Amino acid sequence: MMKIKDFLFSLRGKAILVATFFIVIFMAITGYVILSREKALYLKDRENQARVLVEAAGINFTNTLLYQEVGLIEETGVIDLYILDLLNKEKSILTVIIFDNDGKVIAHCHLVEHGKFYENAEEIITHQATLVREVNDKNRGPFLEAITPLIVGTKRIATLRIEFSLKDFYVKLADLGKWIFSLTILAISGSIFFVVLGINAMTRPIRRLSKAMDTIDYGRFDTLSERPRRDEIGHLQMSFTDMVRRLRDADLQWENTFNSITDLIIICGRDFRVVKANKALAQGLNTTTDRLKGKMCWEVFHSEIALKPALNGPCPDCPHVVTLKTGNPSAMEIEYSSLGGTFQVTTYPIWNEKGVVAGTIHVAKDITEQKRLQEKLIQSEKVAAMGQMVSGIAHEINNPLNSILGYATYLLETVDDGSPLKDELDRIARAASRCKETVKRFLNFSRETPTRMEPIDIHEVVGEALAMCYPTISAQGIKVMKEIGADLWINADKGQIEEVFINIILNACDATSRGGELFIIAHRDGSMSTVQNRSWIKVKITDTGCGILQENLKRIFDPFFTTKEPGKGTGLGLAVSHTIVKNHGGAIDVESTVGKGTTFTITLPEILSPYRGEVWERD
Amino acid sequence: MSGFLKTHLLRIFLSVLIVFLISGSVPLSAKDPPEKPTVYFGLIPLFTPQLMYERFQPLMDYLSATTPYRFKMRLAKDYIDIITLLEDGSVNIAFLGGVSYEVAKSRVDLIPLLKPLNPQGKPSYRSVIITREDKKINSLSDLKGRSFAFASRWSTSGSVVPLYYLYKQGVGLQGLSNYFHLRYHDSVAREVLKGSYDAGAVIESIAYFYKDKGLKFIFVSEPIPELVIVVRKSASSKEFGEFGEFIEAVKRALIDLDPHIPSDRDLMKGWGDEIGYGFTEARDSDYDGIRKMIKYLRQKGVYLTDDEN
Repeated sequence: MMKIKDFLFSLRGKAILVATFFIVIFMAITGYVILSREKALYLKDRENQARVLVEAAGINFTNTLLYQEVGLIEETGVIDLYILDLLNKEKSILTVIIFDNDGKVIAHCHLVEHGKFYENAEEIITHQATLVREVNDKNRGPFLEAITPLIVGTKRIATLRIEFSLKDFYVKLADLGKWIFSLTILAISGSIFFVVLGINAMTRPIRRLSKAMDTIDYGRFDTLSERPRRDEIGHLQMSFTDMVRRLRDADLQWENTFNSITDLIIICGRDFRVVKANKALAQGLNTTTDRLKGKMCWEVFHSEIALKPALNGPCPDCPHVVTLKTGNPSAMEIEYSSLGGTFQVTTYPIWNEKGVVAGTIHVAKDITEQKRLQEKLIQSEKVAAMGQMVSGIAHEINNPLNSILGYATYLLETVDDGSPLKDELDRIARAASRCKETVKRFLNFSRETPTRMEPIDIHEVVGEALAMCYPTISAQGIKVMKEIGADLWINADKGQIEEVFINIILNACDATSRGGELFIIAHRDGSMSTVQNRSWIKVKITDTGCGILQENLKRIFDPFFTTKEPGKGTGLGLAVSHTIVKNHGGAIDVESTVGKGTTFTITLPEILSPYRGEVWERD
Repeated sequence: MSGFLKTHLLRIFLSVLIVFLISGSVPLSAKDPPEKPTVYFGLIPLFTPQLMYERFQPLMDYLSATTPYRFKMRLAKDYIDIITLLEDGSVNIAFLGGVSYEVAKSRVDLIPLLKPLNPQGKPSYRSVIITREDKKINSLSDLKGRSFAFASRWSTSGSVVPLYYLYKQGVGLQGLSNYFHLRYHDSVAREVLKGSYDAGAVIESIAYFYKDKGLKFIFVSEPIPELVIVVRKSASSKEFGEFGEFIEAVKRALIDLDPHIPSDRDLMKGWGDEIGYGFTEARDSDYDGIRKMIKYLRQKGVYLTDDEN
């Protein structure tokens, strides 16, 4: 139905309808005119025939009547036979009658009519010349009546009247009518066919152009595939081509601009579907702009939604929602899981012609690095302040501690071996020593501690660290397995390196549940020697603890980062360890699997054993 | 000379030229095949000449085609004329009615050759007394005081037979108001239709031909012996070659015709009713019945010829 309506309102449909209408009207009129003309000609022809026949027969009848009158013809049969002959030869003759001057029938093709008087005879016998006329009798239908007076000189002897049938004439006329009708229908059909062909041919370029316009793709568009024409449609093609080129240029310009922006931009509809995304976003997500088109915005930015279908839907306070609601630009800092970073997101409203917000332009600026630097700055400032504070406290504590340790040592030396004071004094001295070490650690963290480098045996330093940790290890019931190669020497501050091991071992103990295991393996790492032109010692401390979450792994060396309960850890241990190892030209790495355990690898440059009298160090 | 006269003379000249050319060229181009001997076939004037030609010319054409002779129709003016023609030898073969055969035989030596068959295959036909539908005449006795049209005086079915029955019925010529012998059977039918006579007597074929035009039959006779084809006995073999061969040729050509055979039926389609259903051999004795009727009428004072009076 819709198709018919479309067709009727199309240029082609209208042209075909109008042409068809006029063809039908024209053909109908032509057919009617031809038929009328043919009818008139036929009738005229029949009338002429009748006139000739009646006049020719009249001559014969006149003579016969005259001969009969003078007695040259004995019997009357001649006229009757002649009439019968006429009827036999000319099938269209219906009746032949001869009236005498009184209107009496003196000869009739129906012999029984002989001698009768007809009502209309009076009118017939008064005609002075031949008369041919069409008579439409109610009962007999139309016929042609030809009347001619039979005259000799100035004497009228009788009147001849012949009726001619018009039946075959009307049959012929009907046949002609049918023929003309068929021909008209044929002509109409033919004309319509050619008109349709013609109009189709004329409108085809328009339809093609319109189709080409419909399917135009700016991206691929160059020119219309149509061959250029010389007519008006050619002009239209050119104008359209030109227009499309300008549109494409504008489009390209816009597209280039859109894609040149490094901020991540999408144009998002009211339905939260991505209408368009720029290249920067597509690259960030390792996809193409086309693939992003039509996706829901939260599918694009929040990959975790794929894992948790319950979250499927717009974020309630997302700037897009706010802008849709308020019609004002909206900004917010959002962490996008899909992109793995923090973004400053601003949405701008897109108004449609009805004054309704049709969507938003959603611009996300990556501020992850900026944020990180900011945090780092804050952290370092915090650390610096802390360092200063710690350094101050350490200085303040250091002097009284020195006095305590000095006096305790002095007293220990002065008391006898058997004195009951000796134990107490020894405890005081050891406690003071430990305090001094802690102070030293603080000072070390704030780089206030002077580093004292000396050749150290890894075996010895690990052993001392384990001894220091022993109370914890034993309390936890942790099984320690040690595998330390012989003659592994490093040049280091013994106290600092010992502190590194203690920190790591204590952390391992904290992470490991009762009855866990701790492996300490130290060996020379040959693989690195060729690269660095130096021999390295690797100390691996592996526990069977709970492991560290992936997101915490990269932060565990940050100062004051701790996962322990408040008051239980300073968050300084690993940060200090990291600083110490780094200060010793080494590196500290961590690998961890949640639920399985953690391995810390401390890599330090090796030196030759001091007991060989030479240091294996080229630099 | 005026322009009109010039044109007129030119026309005359051209016409003469064309006529000359045509008349000159026709005999040259249409050369007749070797001439067959011509035989004139005499016919009693049953009908008006036109009708005679229409009904009997096909028989002439047929005989000319199937025998070594060329047959030409010789129409007689009246019944006397045909007998005269036979007498003087102008015709050697003729088609006669029973009465005319009887009359002719008294003057010329004739051999009855063949007689035609009617649609029922019998060698007989009937005479019909007709009147117009609107006339209150329904039997022969109603004819008393009416006018009557007979065919020719020597016509069997148009005169002798009806007279015989009129006398038998007790009407006779005297009982009629007036009567007239018309020349042809079809003239009788037409004049009755026109009302010139109250009734008339005609041969069966004409009665049926005009019946639907407004006639009614008031009397149909008993079967009358058919018309007869006769040959003049004294015809010389100079004219026919062997006379016997001529008779045989005619007999063979006509007796073989059988309307039951489709090809023959088609052949005889346009022939008159009198001859269109085949032929059979005729004998003189076939016409004894006619002779009796003539005798009867003679007794009633009706004579065929004025000599008899």
